Amino acid sequence: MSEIVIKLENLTKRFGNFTAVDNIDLEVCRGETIGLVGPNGAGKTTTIKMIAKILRPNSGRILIRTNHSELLDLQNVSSTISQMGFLIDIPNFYNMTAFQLLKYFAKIQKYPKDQTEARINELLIRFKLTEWKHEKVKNFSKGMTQKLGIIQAIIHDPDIIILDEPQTGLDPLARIEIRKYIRDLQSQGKTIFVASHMLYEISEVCDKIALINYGKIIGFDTVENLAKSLKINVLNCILLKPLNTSDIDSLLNRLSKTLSPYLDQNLETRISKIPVRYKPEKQELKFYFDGKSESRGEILKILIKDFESDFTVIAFTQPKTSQLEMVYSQMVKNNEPEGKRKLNGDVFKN
Amino acid sequence: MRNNNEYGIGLKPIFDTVIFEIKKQRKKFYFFLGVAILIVFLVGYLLQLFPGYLLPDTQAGYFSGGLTFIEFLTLFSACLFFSGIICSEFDKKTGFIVFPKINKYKLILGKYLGNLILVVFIMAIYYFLLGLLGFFYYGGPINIRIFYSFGFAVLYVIALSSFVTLFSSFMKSVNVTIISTLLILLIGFTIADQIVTLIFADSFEPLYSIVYLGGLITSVLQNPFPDPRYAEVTMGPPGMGGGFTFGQWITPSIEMGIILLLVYIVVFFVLAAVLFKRRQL
Amino acid sequence: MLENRKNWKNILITLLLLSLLGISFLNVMSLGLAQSNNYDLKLTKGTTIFSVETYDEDAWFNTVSNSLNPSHWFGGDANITGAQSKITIKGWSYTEWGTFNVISSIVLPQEQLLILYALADYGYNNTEINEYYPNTYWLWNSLQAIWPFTSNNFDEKPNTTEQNIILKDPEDYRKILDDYNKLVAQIKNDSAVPLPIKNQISNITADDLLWKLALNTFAAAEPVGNYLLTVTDALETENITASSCSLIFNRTGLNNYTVEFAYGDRGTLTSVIVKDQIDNTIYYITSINSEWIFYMILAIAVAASIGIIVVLTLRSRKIKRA
Repeated sequence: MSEIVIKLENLTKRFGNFTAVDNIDLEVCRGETIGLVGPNGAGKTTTIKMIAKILRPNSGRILIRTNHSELLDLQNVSSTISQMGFLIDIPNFYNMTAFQLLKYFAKIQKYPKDQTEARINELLIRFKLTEWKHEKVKNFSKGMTQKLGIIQAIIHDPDIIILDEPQTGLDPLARIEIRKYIRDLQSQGKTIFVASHMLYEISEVCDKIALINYGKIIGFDTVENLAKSLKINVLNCILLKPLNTSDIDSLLNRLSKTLSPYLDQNLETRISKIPVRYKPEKQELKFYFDGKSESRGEILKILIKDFESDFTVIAFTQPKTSQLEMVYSQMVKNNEPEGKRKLNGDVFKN
Repeated sequence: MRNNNEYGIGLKPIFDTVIFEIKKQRKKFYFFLGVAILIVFLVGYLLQLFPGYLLPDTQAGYFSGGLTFIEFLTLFSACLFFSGIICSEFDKKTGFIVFPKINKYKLILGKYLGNLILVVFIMAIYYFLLGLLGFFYYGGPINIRIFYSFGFAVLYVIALSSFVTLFSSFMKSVNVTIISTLLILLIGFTIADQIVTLIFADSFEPLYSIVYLGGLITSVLQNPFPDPRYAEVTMGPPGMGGGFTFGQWITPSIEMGIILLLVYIVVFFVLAAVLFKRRQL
Repeated sequence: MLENRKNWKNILITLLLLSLLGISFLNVMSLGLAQSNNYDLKLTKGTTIFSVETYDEDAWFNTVSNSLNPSHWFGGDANITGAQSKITIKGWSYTEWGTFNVISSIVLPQEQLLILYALADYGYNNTEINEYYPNTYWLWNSLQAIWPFTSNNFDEKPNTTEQNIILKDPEDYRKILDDYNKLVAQIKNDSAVPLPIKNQISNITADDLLWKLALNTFAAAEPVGNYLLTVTDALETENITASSCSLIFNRTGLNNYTVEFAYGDRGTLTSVIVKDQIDNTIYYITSINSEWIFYMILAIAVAASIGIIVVLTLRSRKIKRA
């Protein structure tokens, strides 16, 4: 097992009577990409601010390990940890040029002087900001500022990268770019901790997800394991042609019967009454299965062999996003304190 | 991965921040430098082009006249340069970017030193030009007391900056810090000094007032140093019930001035550091 | 659109050039007028340091006088080589004075001023003298702070602050000398004036007046050479000649000698040379003005600033281009 690089122990942060982070325990191992997912006000940014030493926890502690040393209590570390890179909140910069800012950030984080300019250029090219190198940040768009925010977090090539809503304000192409870059960082063995409410982005890049709500971690595992624990494993099957409306019910019943050994028979009724559903607008069949990987193959075989005359399958996938969405919504609902507010509407946007 | 010595108390980040801050404040610096040069040019040179405006008898007298506006210049520059030192990081949320990268005390120290260098440089240019004009009108050597005056001006700037930094450590916005410190320093202290002098006359010297202590910048040029330091001034025609006499403290003593300015600097900085430590983004 | 802009630019440049030409023409015209009819004061505020470069004491005692030394002429330690004095021109005003003021300021020696005031009781006060001699004089009244010759460091404060009168019209020196001498004659003939007072005032010759003025920081208006020449011509001096920008006094003490007071472009004293009859320098005072050092430092500072600005601009352009 790889070593733990960040450990949160009973971490609590209160603002007056409001508990923003409530007794959180979390371990991040070297090389992992962890997603911290939760609705607005769940405590994601507060947790990250405490790791960045911007906020002091009321109780609990944050342990960090750098250079394979012992785990050290962050509060006892007199200086900042330059092996970590942070992007917190929407970045606001001093009104200087991108180059001046990045050069300064690299300097104060002791990045080798002779490599600084090359590093800045490399990152500016990667994020398509080269032409803006000598422009003041006040002239930057929101998306460009966000990109610069990510660049400043990684300019000094840190081992641990902590990103808070990195894709906020970015256009789809830029989001893809950032996703790609996060994958690059993963391949370099970096430890990445991403807080976001963009479930798709998180599900695409993270090894593990920590679900946070009302300041508490309500689940921390891989998307699959979380889904398993909540018994919501879904398979999507996209059809070549739409099903005949009059045949749908009988077909669904047949499917349900034929595939019953592999389907989730104890599915909660609030998710679906039967474990097979049809979405006409997407020409898609949705199967709630038992979660076993061998079951997926069997289901596909049966669909192709036994239902050849009913439809033609053109895609057969286990979507992480929708799975995560369901996990997320279910866990949040399960953990919602009585009488507390409903979730914000923007939680599931991606 | 680089080899990092993470926990060393390096001075380099402070130095880097000083350089960065100097670059950041470049426009403000050029503006104040322009104003300083303009004031010296107006007071020290342009006025002297009028034959009827007599040159003082001595170089020190000339410097004293030329330094009439230095207290205002230092006051305004201190308020405008130092007001954002702490609160801008919170107000503009730039702290989210920089606080994780550098020890926040080092950051503030670097920013402070950067601004201090700029303000002292502006004043040095002011004194240099005035000294040069003093040399032009009176020949050498330059009166040594202008160097003492410069020393007091630097001490005064540090005291003012500590006062403004204190405000910056708890105020929410940069603009409010600028306005409140300017109001207190320009009007507040002056009114307080006058009320205190009106009530207590010569029995209570307004040593609490930084602005009063700043008077040493020009009074140190006087030879002999003003004695007594309290004077009564009569305004209006005397006799027949006319004429209004009021007391005025001219200057603090040199020793007391130095001690109090140093005390204020220490007290204000310590308070600012305590408040800054408690402040969270 | 672009063409319109170009046209405007051309019109503006033409207007600017015409204005500059107009200003230059007016300037030249006014200079010409000033030179033909008037003298102008070219004084500048500032300090001149005078230094005793040469003093041959033996030659002095053999030529000038064995009882008087340069201190009697120039005051302070003027009889010590290396001694320095300092004069700071504080400012001046251009004004019109009556006879009384001009006499008391430039003609009468300092020690005889009290006599003038004593005469007020005998019908010769300010108003009365001005009525007898109603000439008026346009002049520049310059105020000077004076540090006398000393071989030590200068005191911080000047010894005296004195007025220095420069008559706008050099021919007025003749007028005031004549008025003064007429006044002396009138007083001498006035039976009401007590004899002790009469005995203390006497006529002044043109040479004496100019000698007194020269020793008391006399200054000339511009053009200096013309001004000095007109003064000597108007006063019809016997042993004083104006040459270029100098007044040369041919004097006789134990032997003949000359004293040359040289004046600079601005009309103020720049040097004094006392020479014996075989042209050996007995005594020499030079002046130093620190203006050139000021301009040199200023030029260096400006050049350095421009250099820094140019370097920074080029650097930023280079960066932007890169």
